[in-house]
Amino acid sequence: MARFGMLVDLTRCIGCYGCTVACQARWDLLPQVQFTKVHRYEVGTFPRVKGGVVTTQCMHCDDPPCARVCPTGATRKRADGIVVVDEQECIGCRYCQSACPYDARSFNPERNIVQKCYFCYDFVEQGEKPACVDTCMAGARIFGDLEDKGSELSRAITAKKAVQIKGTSIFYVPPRNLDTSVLPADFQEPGAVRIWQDIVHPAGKTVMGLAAGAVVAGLVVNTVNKSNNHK
Amino acid sequence: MLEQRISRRTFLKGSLVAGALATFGGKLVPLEQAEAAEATSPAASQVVPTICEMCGVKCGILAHVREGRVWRLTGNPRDPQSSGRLCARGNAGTKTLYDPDRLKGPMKRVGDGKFQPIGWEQAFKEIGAKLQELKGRYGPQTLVWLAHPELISPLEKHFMAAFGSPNYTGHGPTCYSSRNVAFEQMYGGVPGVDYRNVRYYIAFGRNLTGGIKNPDIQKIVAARAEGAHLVAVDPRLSDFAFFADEWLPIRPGTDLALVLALINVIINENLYDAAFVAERTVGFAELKAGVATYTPEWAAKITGIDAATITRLARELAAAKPAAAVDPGWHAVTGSQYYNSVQAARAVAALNALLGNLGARGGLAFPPGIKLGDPSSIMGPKPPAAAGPRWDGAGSEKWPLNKAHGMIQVFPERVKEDKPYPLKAVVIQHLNPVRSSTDSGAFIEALKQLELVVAIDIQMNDTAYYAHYVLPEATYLERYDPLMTAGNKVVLRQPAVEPLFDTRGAEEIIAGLAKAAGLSAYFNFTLEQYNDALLAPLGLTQAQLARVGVAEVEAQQPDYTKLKTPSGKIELACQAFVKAGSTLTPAWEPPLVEPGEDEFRFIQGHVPMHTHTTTDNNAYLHAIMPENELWVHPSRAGKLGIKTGDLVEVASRVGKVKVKARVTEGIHPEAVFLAHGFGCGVPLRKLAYNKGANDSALIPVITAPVSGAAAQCETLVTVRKAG
Repeated sequence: MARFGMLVDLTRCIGCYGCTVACQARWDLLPQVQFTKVHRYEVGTFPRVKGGVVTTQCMHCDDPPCARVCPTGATRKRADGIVVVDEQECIGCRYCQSACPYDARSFNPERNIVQKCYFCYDFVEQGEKPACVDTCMAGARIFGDLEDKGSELSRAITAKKAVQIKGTSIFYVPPRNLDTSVLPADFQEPGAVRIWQDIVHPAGKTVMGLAAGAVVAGLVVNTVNKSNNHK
Repeated sequence: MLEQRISRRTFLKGSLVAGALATFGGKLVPLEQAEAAEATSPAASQVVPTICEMCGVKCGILAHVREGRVWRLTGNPRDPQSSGRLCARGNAGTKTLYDPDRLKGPMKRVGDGKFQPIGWEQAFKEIGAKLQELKGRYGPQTLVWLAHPELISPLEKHFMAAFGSPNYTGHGPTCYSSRNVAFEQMYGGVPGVDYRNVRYYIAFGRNLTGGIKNPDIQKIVAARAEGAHLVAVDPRLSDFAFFADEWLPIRPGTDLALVLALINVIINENLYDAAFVAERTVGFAELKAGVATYTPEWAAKITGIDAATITRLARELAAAKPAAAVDPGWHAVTGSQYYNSVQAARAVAALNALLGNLGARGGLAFPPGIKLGDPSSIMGPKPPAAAGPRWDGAGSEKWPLNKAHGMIQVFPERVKEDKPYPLKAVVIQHLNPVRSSTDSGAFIEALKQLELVVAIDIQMNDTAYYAHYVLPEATYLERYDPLMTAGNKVVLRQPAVEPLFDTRGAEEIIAGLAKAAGLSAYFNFTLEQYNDALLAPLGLTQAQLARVGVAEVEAQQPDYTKLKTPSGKIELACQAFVKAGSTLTPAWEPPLVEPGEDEFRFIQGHVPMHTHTTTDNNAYLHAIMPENELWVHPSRAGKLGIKTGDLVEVASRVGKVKVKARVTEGIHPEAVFLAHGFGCGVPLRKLAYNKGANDSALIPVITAPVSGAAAQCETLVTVRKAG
């Protein structure tokens, strides 16, 4: 089974936003909804100032917190590693947005759903590249199968000594002049997710269970009482 | 019938290949997707190969049409410019096509900012009658045509020739005039850089990855990945400055001194290509004498770049020759920014010649030539000779070298005075001089004084807003255009969808105006006939080219041993400049203005996600960058009490704007920077209206010597916290 990932070579990226817009056009996104973002950094003082560009997007985490908190199961991780949102099933509750450690999800107010980078899974299924990769003038993006050691992606990761953002499917060649601190942090489950997952969710279940139990018990007691009264 | 059974498709396919091969041995590459598209119903998906117009580069694109709607644009892999890839602007083209604020039909002005719809025929009739009336009263030269010359420009020029006016003017003086004038005189044409193979590259102000040209980006990124060393000389940390290996934050306006010092070192240390200089150039001895005093130490004092760095750059540049190039530039230092820009361009031209890089791998190169047919036989009688000199004086005794480029920035002044003749009418096509030329206020006043202003555009821009008639052109995804050549290929723009509104192709608009102005004899041809005439020697027709979008044809490689200069060689010493009142060899001239203690030099330039003033209302591009910000150095901002995000007032001697500040280490303390293309003053363009500041409102009209370029960065401004 393939496991898809992406490499962004920031030594090639020129910060043109071609990826951002190709993605928007391809998914017919609202202008304010951007799956791929471009950030520019400046460090140092004049005249010794260095700059660079870092792009961010959904990291397609190994164990995505967005999927774990999703109450309807609209967000899920596919067997090929792509984290998708079933836009029909999404109820727009935005829990996933608060759970995402990378702020990679966007709310679409017109459709009341949350959207994100889908790695253009439909293109990928047809053997094509995601729109951002396809359009990149600088050839800074490489998409492919991490399981296949012979894939363009796997070979590039080795050849370029790319840095994996741990716990995710995204690799970077860091920008020249800048250290890796400008890259997205390694995956760390946000505290809120742990609270939700380990305390709120079980507690909720317990509370709901107790409530349901109470209702059932109440009904039983009532029924028993009623039948007693009849006697 | 047999003919009916042979489908049009099969027939074309056969005749296309046979015709092409038989005639010139070139090859047409069929586009499978386009072939497939035609076989299916119009409701299904189609892929239409055409040409982008989100900037001036004209990349080949594929328009993906689904149920009659262009849903996506991608690069055409067979196009030599896009090679299948697109920038943000190219990708955002659907938002221009489906922009709700587009012009939807012809309009007539009925008051300030008020327009009423008018039928095309009525508009033509009224404009034609007015043109004839003004021609009768003032002569044909009273009409000026201003344009950002696009593929349609041959027909615009044909209209003007038929009308009898010599006054067709492009946007060159606000962009590249100085570079062109310098290289045309010294090289016989303007070469480009072989970015793909360059090993050492210096850009003086050229923001290669900011003022994006897709094909150049693809090549320079690949060259860099293979170890090319890139140097950005720029007063600010531009998009290219942070991409490059080195950023040299030069004092604005002093680049010329640095180039002259590089020449000085390369000559004095005998680092130049002696064989090339001897065989392919004239005037070396004069150049050597001319630069004798321009030492690195001299340049260091002027530029703020230390002498050791200058010497190192010269040595490294020369060591990499001939795969070493100093970019001839575009709109920046060598184009239209400073009073000394033409000297800077001449110095850059001379420096490249010393590297012997013309025609060498990784050096400078001229594009190959494709010989197209002559359409004049279908274009009516020979137009009359133009009556009188040009309106702006370009090409006259005072401005002998810039006839082709004109001087659009002097338009307001010339409208005001009636010498040598009155200007009463202007047609403005695909150009927005109110925001793209200089001194917006003066330009608006000039437009108000004219008897006839006609704007042809796809959107209501700040200039069209003052027009008597606004004629809406179909967008690039809805129309044909005269074909273009790129490298060894011919490329066709063709519609992906029918026009959404009551708009027309520019050729129809021009023909409509011509017929109404009594010039019917000159416009009895269709665009298809025109394109067919151009394609005839290649054994192709527009209909055939339409099916594939791009066709590879035979192209002639340039002959670098016979340049189009008087000597046939690169003219390091050039008499033409002396005749134009300048020096024989490139020489130091200080910039025109020096900022005082409370002043800044105002510099402007481009960003990668917008093109001039044409994309600020595009929803995708607007969302990425809705407004510009004034870059100011912390040392100066601190004294003025300005923080990032504060609203500031920027004032020059001709105008004032309000804009947000961005305090950054990435700019020379003497300068402030504003990205061009913002500050739309037209409420009809809802996204762009009043976002950011219009840089042109601040820039006074200053015409650089020799080239006639608008020296846009010779602008002094003061900055204060607003409100």
